[in-house]
Amino acid sequence: MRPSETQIQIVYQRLLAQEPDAPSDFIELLLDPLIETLGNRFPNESYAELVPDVVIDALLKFVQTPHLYQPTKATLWNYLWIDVQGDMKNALKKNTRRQQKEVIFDPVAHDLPDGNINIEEEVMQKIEVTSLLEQNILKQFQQEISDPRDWQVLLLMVNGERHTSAFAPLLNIETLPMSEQRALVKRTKDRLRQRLKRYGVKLHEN
Amino acid sequence: MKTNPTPSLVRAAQRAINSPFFLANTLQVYQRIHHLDNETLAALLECQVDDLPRLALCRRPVTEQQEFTRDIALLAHRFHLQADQLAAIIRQVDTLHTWQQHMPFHQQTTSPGLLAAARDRDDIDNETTEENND
Repeated sequence: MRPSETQIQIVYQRLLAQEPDAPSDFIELLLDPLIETLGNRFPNESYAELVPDVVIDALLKFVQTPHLYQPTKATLWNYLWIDVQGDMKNALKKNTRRQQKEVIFDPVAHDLPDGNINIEEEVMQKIEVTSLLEQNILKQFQQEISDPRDWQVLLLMVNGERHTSAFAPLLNIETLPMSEQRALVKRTKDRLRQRLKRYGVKLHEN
Repeated sequence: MKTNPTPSLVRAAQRAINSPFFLANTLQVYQRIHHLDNETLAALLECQVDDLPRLALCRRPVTEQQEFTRDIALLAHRFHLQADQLAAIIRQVDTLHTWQQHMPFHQQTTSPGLLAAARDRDDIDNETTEENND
């Protein structure tokens, strides 16, 4: 249950007075209410571990620098609430970036011994059947695309994927407004289409 | 009357180990060196095991003698623990850190032998202080 502002202020004043047990009391007073509130804001089950850690870290940080809070700008609860929401968003972004890297550098996708069933090959096989180009020209194109993300985008394109939401995680832009996501996805796809065009390839994107 | 610490409070105490601001850090170093579990540490301090997470989340008493004594007294009163024992733990870990800072990197260790030496030094310091006070 959320403590009253008076309760928070009493312990906060003890923090400012540098009482040694004040950090413990402050954290205990606010920890579970903030976890509950943040959990309601981010109810996804996969965040169950992340939510408490974000709140804990925010409170551990706050009690070490309580003077940074400016009472004229917000109540202490609101200040902490804004703080943990920001930290949560940052933690989610960080997680997404990490997962993205894991996908991009997935050795299963890129280092199979026979080298046939990876993303590049899958894209190239699709392109081959839609173009009349010589094998050596296609090889040049394959070498020119060095960014693994481009191959993943191409794969979605040749498979006829049209939803921005499918491309956004590959480009690490899913936290941006939808209009920006659409523009960035379109720009990326256009760039890749242009490259293909230079080789005389036109994708049949279904 | 205080309730048992919630799982999230216990978790917070564990994460506080990483910051020297908190007593958690000092207590953890002491426990590691002496291979003490929570029950043994609580017995040593003569406090409740359930109070350890709350104690761990307290600010580590400052080094200056006057404030140090005041902080220790406050914590002892709050958690019904042995003030001199808590003070001894903090001083031992402090001494160990000081020694480590002055040792070449390859010799740095947290072995019981080094702590024993640090403890001896503390005892000597205490005795000297007592003699001077007499």
